[in-house]
Amino acid sequence: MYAYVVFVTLSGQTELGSALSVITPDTNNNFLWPETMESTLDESTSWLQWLHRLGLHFDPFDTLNAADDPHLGEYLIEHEIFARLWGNDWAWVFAPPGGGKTALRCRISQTCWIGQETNRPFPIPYLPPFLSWSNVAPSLEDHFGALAQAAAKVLLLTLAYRPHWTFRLPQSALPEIHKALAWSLPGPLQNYLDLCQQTRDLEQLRRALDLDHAFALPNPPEVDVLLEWCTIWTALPSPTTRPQAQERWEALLRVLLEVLDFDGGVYLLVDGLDAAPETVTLPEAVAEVLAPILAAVAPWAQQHIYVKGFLPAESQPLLTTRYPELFSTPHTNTIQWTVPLLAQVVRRRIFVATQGDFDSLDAIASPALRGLEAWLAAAALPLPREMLVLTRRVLQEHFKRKDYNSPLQETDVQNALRWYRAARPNIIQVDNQL
Amino acid sequence: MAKSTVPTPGLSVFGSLRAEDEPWLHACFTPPPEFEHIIAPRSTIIFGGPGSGKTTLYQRVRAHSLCDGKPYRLLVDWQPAPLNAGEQATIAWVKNQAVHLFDHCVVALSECLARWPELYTAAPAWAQARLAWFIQQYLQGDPKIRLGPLLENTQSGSDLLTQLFSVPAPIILYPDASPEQVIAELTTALSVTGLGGIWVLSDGLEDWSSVDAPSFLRGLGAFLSTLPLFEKAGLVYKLWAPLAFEPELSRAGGLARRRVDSVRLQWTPDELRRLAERRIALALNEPTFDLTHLSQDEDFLPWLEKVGGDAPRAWLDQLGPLVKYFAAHGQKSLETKTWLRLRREYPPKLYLSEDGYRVLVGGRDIDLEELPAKSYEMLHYLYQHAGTVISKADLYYRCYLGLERTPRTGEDLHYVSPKDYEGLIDTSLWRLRRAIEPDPSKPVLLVSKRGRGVVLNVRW
Repeated sequence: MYAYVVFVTLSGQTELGSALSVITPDTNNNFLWPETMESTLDESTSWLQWLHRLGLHFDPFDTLNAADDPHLGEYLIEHEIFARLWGNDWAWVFAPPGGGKTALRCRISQTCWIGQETNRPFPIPYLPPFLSWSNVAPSLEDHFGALAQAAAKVLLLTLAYRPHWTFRLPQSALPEIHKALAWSLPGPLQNYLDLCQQTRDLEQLRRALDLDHAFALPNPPEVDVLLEWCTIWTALPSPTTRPQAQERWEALLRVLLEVLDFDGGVYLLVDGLDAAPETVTLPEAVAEVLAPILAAVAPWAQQHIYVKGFLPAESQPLLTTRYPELFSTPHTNTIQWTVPLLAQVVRRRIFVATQGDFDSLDAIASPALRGLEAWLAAAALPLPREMLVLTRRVLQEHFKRKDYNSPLQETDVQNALRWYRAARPNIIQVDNQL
Repeated sequence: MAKSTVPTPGLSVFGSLRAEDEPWLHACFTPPPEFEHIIAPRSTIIFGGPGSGKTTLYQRVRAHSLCDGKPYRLLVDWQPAPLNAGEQATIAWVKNQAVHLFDHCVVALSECLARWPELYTAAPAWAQARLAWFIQQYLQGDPKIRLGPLLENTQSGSDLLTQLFSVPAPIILYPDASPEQVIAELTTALSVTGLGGIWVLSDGLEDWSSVDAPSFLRGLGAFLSTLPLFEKAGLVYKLWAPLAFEPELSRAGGLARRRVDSVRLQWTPDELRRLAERRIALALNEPTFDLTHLSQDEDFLPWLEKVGGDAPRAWLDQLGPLVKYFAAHGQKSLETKTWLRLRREYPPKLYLSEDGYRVLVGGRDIDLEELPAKSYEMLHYLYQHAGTVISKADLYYRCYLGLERTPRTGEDLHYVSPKDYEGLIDTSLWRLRRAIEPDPSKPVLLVSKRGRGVVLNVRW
């Protein structure tokens, strides 16, 4: 079923009975129906229309979790830290919440993911599944099981997007891959194959596998090729037993490094360590989650498995003290944001959302507000997410005035700042106050 | 405002002033300033004081999820449980809550399918398989007991439900799959059924504020700190919570990391005036109404703002008697003496907090910390004897001195001449009036009865 948004005219009809002019799908799969539109026309849908009128084709400040953002790849700015993370070694990035860790992780996933050959590293986003474990003190076996599942999910989607790999593999290699997938996927492999066969594209498969937008590719295989690919895997017999987690993990590594022969090795992208109630503010708890796999980091690097950890800033002192060699300076990075960089975060989003028509709030602000992005960057916590929140609020304050013909005014900025001071997260510690 | 063909509710719009009892509410609904934010597909906690319109918003969010009475997203009423004694707010506890939430999702989905089976029958086979699996896997207890009426009624969907529970569903995920994976499968399947996502709605959190707030808040805080539950496209939470919860919950990981937005329901006098005018217009079956038609006394609107504060319910509570009088007397503006009489007869509701020096008068939450202890005790005494005329002697002896009986003559123990304490009592009453009366010069709450004493008018 399609979703719709009801748009209304912007001719100042802000009360009931505003004219219905367009019905069009919404990117959020969200819509309002005529029955309920009376009181909401101006309160919700005209927000989108107002953005359109400004020249923005979508709300570039709406998605605050980088992993959920379908446009992230288009407007993620180049940060110098990317180059320090890329390469054949382990690396850690420390940043406060909202500091860009997940965006960076997605960027690395995406850089690994594009291309049709195995000459790039294979990305495994690894977010410890605390809910599945029911604890935050996992054993090494727990990690192996979760790692194997994370790897299997990406591998299945990788193979589905690139059926030619399967076609060119020797027949003898297929059972090993099939077995590795069947052992470690969260559900029966055949269900995922059925999904591909029935939907005839890979978007639903990506969603069912719970993989983020970094793993969407614009060029899925042709339908008949995809169906042929499914047939090959369906024909193979399913394993009847499931070994221990370590064996499952090692089977996948063998497939990746030996059978498929990923030249760049495997990137293990560890993120989301502060996602449980116990780890949200406690560096000790974060260290405890990591502890079992830290012993493997250096040996893995010898086997071309490179851990790239995206860790909460508050855990850095503890981890550095406890594991000085692993967290030595060459391996450790912190994301620093400056006013120009933060301003660029906003400008880049505007550029993408306007499809290149303009790249600054200056285009829609009164002349007195020239350089508004820099102004806002200096006022927000020096974190991209906070910058986006504050920028969106400025637009919302303008929208609330319903003076659609005026540019952004200083009063909008002042109101947004007042709101932001009250809504600013007070538990986030940021060292590099601008 | 467009006139509706549906019979108007008339003056009953000033009845209970509880959104639960107001099926016509959509006809006069006035969105609060952050309404666009509230109905956006993002997880949000809406904080609001008593009477600020939380339940009204909850109902509007529900209404926004329907088209001709048919939902286009799965609405699930659910709230986390409080922690039991000795229980810790851990990830294990949160997982149990997630399982509990899935159970509620199954019930809501079953209710949907019972009524609109085509949501299932028209879905592709892969989506059907996932929905059948989810329903079988995550309903707790015996389906016949949990869903009995749905399975037994004559709706066309009851056959479908019976079939869904009797034919084994394919295994979609293994039993050790994480809740995040379950959510991903469920929302992917729902996205092609016409139910474009899941909205978990939690109204009534207010009830916990007076029962066991600390343990409830610890649990809710842990739930809101479990980020994977708030990072799934297609799963949105809307929670309505009392303002008192805001300091604690704003520290939860999901709020601090912006996975969950927070909105404080705040109304300006202009917005409240618009809200009141729309409701009066509906009551009178008029397209519009201007509050100044009700009374042209220059003190009327300031009084309303003072008494109503920023709470819609308090504004409407004050306006109800005036509108009824207005309607019954040819819709002529109330004379000042009539308005003054009515406001005496219908003073703002007053609640004295049991656990602190606070009193709620109409829409104003008044801090009584500055009040001398004896004045506060006097208010407490009057509150316990609300509606009863209390003599100054009783106030002095029983409340001020804490005696059990009031001495009547000079021969009684503790007796003193009235002139020795009346000044003291009058000063305390003056302080109390300054604190709680909207207009201390014309008291409506703490009213003197000449020669008899004073009475605290409390409407329950």
